[in-house]
Amino acid sequence: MQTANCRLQNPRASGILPFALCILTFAFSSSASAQSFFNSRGLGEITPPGEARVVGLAGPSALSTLNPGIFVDLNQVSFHVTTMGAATLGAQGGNSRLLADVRPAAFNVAAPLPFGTRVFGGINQKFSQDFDIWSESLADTAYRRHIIGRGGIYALRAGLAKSLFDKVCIGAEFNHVLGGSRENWRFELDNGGYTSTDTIEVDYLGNTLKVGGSFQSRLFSLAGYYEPSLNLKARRSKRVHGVISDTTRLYVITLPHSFSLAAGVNPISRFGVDIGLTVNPWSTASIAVDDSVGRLGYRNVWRGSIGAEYEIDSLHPVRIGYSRQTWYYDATAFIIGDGYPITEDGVHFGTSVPVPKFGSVEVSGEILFRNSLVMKEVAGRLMLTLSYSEAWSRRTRRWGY
Amino acid sequence: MKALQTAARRLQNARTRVVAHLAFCILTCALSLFSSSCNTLPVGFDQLRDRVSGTADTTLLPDSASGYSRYVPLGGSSLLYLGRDADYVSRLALRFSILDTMSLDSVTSFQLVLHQSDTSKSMGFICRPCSSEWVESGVSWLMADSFNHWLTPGGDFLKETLATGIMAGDSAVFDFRYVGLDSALKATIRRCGVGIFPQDTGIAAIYSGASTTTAPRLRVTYTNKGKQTTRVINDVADASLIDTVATRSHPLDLLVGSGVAFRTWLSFNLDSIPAEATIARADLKFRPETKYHRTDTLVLGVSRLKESYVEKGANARYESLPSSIARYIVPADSDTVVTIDIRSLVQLWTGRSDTIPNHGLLITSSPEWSKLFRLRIPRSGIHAPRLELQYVLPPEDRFR
Repeated sequence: MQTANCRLQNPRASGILPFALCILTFAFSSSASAQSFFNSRGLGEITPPGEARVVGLAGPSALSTLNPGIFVDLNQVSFHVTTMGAATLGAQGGNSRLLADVRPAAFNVAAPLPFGTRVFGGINQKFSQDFDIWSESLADTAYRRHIIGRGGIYALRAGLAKSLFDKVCIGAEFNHVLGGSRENWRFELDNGGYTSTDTIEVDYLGNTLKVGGSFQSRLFSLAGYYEPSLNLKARRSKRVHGVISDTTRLYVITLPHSFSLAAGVNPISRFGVDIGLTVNPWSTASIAVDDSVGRLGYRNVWRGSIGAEYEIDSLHPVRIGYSRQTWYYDATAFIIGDGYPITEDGVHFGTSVPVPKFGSVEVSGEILFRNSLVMKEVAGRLMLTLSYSEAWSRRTRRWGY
Repeated sequence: MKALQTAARRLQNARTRVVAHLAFCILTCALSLFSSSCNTLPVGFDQLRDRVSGTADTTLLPDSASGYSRYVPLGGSSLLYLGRDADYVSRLALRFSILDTMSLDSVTSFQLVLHQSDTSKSMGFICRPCSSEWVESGVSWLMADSFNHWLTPGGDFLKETLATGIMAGDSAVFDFRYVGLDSALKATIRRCGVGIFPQDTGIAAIYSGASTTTAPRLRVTYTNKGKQTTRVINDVADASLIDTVATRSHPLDLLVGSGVAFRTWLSFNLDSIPAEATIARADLKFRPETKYHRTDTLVLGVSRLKESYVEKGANARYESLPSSIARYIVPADSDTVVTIDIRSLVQLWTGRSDTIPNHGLLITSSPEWSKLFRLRIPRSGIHAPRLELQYVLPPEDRFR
C-alpha cells in the first residue's frame, strides 16, 4: 500500500514553484466555509485529512501526513496543496436546504535530511465551524434570524521524523493550534434587508504534541499516532448591534487524548486494501470558566474505514472506500430535547491524474450520509490535492545549453 | 440480416430511452438542488434554539404627553392654499422679479396667471400689494421672516387692488394693474410682492413656483418693432399664510395638524427594555378623532426630539426628517387605529442610551404644508397612545 511518501519522479519544470504558490494563495484566499447544519454545536465537524489520496481510501488518517511517523520513503522535498469543494443538503421536518462552497483544506511540506531524518510542516484544519442557518419567523412578526457561522480551528504543524531500515519511521510534531469563529446573528426583514447584527467571536489558542510511527513493506503496512490531551484557551467577545460591547469571557476547553491506527496489505500486485480506526474518547471533555469546571457532554466516539486501491497502470490508480463514524457531540431537538447522536456513513472514491513535468493532481470524491433523529444531511465533497516534488539538487550549467 | 437490423434498432431505441431517463433524472435532481439552494427554510435551527430566548412582549403607555401649535413657514411647498372657512383662513404672498428698467410704454396687457390642482374648485380673490419685505423660508401668519414679525398678523398689505377675479378650472388669467401705478408703488410691488386674499368660502390649492410649468406668473404682452411679443415672469417666492381658530380652543388637546402645525409630544419610559435587546416590533398605536380634513389620506410623521421638551417646551429641537411615517385614511367606520412603526427609533434609544437620550417623540403632519387637516389624539382611555413592543435578547454563547 502506498502511503504518504512522494514518488513523483519528473518534476523539472522551472516556474512550477510560483505556480504552486499561486494555487496556494488562491486556495487560502477563497472563502473558508465547508458547511454543515450540525456545525453550530460543539467545536464543529472534525475536518478530514487534507489529502485527496487518503480521502479516496476512506480517510485512514494514520496513513496520511497527519501521522508524523509516515515518512518512511521520502527522497525529495514534497508539497501538497489541497482544495475542497463541498455541497451539503440538509433535511428536517419536510424542509430541505442546500449549502455549497469551496475552501482550502491543507498545505503540507516535507523534506528529507541526512541520516534518514525528515523535517515536515503544514497547516491543517482540525475543526470546521461554518454553517448558515435561518430561523423560523419570530412570534407574530415577519422578522427572522439568519445565523452565519464562519471559522474553524487550525493546526500549524512542524515536526521531525527518523526513518529506520527503510521500513520503519517514527516522528513527533509540535502543533500550534489556533483559530477563530465568527457568528453573525442577523435580524432579517421580510423585504430582504436586515436591521441589526449580533456578533459572537471566539478565538482559540493552544499547543499540543503528536507522536506517530509506521512500518511499511511491500506486502504490509502498519501506522498509528497518538495525540495527548489538548487544552484550548478560548476568548469570547460579543458585540450587540455592533455598538454595545459585552465583556470578554475567557474559558479553557480540554479535549482528552485521541489516537489513530491503520493497516494496509497488498496481497497481489497493483492491488491494496487498508483499514483505519480513529478513536476520540472525549466523554470527559470539559470547559473551565473561572474556577468552575463543567463537562461539555461529548461522546466517546470512533471512526472506522476500509478502502481499496487498484492500479490500472502505474500512473492511474483508482480508489474506493467506506467509512462510518459517530460525531463527538449530539444533535438537539426543540420538542424532544437533547442527546441524539449524529452518525455518518461515507462512500469515498478517488484517482490520480499525472501532470507532466510537475507531479500529479489527486482527486477524491465523497458522499456522506449524516443522520440524527432530528435532521439528516447528505454531503458531497470533491477534493483536489496538487502534489509536487523537487530534489533541489545543484544543476550543472553547461555551455551550449 | 433483417433480424440483426431490427435488433440494432431496438438496441438504439433502448439506449435513447435510457439516456432520456438519465437526463430527466439529472435535470430533476439539479432543479431540486437548485431550489434547495435558493430557499431560506429553517433547516438546522433546532441546533441553535437553546441559545436563543423567545420574544418578549410589552405595552407601554406614555409617561408624559403634551401638544402645541406653531405658525410654521410654509414657503417652498408645492401647493399654496387660498380660502377660508369656519376653522382656517389662508392667503398667499407672491413675489415676482419685475425689472425696474422694463419699458412699459408699449405694454398692451399685464396679466396674472394661476394654476390650481383641483379643477372643480372655484375661489374669488383679490390681489393687493404687500407693504413689508418677507423671506420665503421664514414667512408665516405671524412672521415676515425668521426674526421679524409682521406689523399686522396675517401680513402687511396696502389697500390698492391689483387684480380681482374668480379662480376656476385648471388655470385662470387675470388682468394685473401695474402699468398705471406710480413708481413708488411699483417699487414696493417689486420689493415686497403681492398678497392674494380669498373672497369666498372654501379652500383652493394653487400650484406654487416649485414647478415652472404651473408656477404663478405674470404675463406681459408688448409691441416690439411692430410685433406683438409676450414675456412670462414666473414668481421668485411664494408662501401660504394660514391661521386657524383651533389654536385658541382647547389648549390641552393633543392635536396633530398641517397648515398651522399642531404637534403632539409623547415620552415613553424605556428603562425596562434591556440595552442589548433587538427590537423586533415597536408600534405606536392610537385612534384619533378627526377634527378637520380636506383630504382623506393623512400622513403622520414621528420625529425624535434632540432636546428635552420638559426644559425647552415647544422650542425643543427635533429631527427635521421624520424617522417614521404612516398613512391614515379617514375612516368610514371609526375603528381604524393609526399604527406607526417606530422600531428604529426605539432601537436607537435602547441601544445607544448613553449617547442618544430619550427625550421623546413628536407626532406631526408630514409634511406640515400638506392639505389641511387636524386630528385629536385622546389623552386617556383605550384609544390613547400606546407603544406595543416586542424584543429579543442576544444569543447565548456557543459554550456555556
